Amino acid sequence: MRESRLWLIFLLCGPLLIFLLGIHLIFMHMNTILDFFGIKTGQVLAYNSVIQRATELKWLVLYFTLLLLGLYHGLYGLRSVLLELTPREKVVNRFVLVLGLLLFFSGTYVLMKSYMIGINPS
Amino acid sequence: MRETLIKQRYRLGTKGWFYAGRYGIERYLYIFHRISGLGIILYLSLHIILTSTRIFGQGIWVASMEMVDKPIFKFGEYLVVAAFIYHALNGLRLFFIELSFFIGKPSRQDYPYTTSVKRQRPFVYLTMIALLCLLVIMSVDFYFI
Amino acid sequence: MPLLTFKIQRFDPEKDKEPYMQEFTFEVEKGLTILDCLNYIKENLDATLSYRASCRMGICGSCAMLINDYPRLACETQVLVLGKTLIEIKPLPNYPLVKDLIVDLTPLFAKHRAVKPYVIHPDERQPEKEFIQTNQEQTKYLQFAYCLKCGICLAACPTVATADNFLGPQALAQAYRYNSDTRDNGLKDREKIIDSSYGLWRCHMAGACAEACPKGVDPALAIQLMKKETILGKKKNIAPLALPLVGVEPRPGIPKAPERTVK
Repeated sequence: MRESRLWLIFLLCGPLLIFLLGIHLIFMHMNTILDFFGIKTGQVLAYNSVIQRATELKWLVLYFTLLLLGLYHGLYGLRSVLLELTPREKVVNRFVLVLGLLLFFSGTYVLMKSYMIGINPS
Repeated sequence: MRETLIKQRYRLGTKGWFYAGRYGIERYLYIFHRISGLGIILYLSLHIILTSTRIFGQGIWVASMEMVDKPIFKFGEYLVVAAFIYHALNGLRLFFIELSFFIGKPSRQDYPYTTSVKRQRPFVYLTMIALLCLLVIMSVDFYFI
Repeated sequence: MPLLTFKIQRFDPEKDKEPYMQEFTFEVEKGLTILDCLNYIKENLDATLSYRASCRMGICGSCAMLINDYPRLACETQVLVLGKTLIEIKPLPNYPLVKDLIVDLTPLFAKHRAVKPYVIHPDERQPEKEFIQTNQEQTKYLQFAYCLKCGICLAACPTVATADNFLGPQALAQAYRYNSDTRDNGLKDREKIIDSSYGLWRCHMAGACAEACPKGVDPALAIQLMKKETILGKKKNIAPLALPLVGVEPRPGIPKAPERTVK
């Protein structure tokens, strides 16, 4: 693919990630502020609530998009940095691609597996 | 003689990334953007691996959550959130500038020259103010965790 | 008259293993440029000092060097304006060192040549008449046409500091300069070179090139504008040729123009 297409996707991922990752961060970590606005998040890291979220469509979609966009944006950035350090373009491309696929598929597997656990606890 | 000269190390190397000396503030923003980005992608990889422990059942999940419930990991988490806020704000600035907003149009140059970098600088200050506000809010949240 | 100390990097490839700093102290007058001081040193203190300079008025771009940690043209920098009593002069970074303050600008010219920095005609044949270009059309590229090829922007660029094959601000600005020229039709040719993994997209808008440029060329502006054009696609009007003159009689007594020498 032409470099400009890759870069355009990278660029557009940026603002989307700010929005999605913002939601993720606020719900998972900013409990003091949410309490201040009267939103009770409870024990977000407890096993039951983690598995509970894994069965809800909105969280599933959020996690999946975050995984996809975050990995693309982050690994394109990593590729930028590596390309500037070494002229061996093919090696860098392959390394980044393999790393990305590995993380993407393991992330997707975890999402599916915890969904299964959530709907069928036994 | 010339051949040997070309082979010698002459480029600044990564020192040229970090040392921004007497150039403008954007040179520093650039290297912070790079460091924070690399930090976040490293965190994301670890995050994917750590949160995948949930599929091995409640016991292992609780154990891995206890493992990271230490001041050093909390501090790391603080740094990642700070890096995200910086990367997001500066990235938003770069999003507009790389699509050539706020940097002006080519014009006939008369001394003293104005540059695109100077024209977008108010945006930099705005970003810095927003960064400071969000960092304060975030720190307060972390303090009362 | 103020007494100034010049710390100048010396390196003779036939004698020295590593570059070293040599100090010269003398009195300077108001209005002297760094280049004048280097000339003074060469004439009166140490004739072996090597540096490159030619026009001494910011036109040729030969005397770019690192003055007090900032790349500048020696001929356009006045010593007293710097406001320091110690002035450190080094060769430009990111270029192979030849001797003392002289660097090899070959990479700069190779990159410049790579982006086809010339007007590529809309059709194969030589135009018979001149192109009609308006002032507004000219302003779109004029700023970038002032580039001296002094190499300061590549010394300031953080990407060039590690990536040898990155085209660099100078070449990219020149690509934009010819892409926005209405007489040129080389957009497609240049796109292949610019839209590559070591082209346009390795610029991260650190802005150092634009600030350091001694002629206000502003390569950073050219690169960002080109990013947008590459993403959105550029529609370009090719300048029309002037119409042949009809019904014009030369005044009597004016000699005929000579025959064309270039066919």
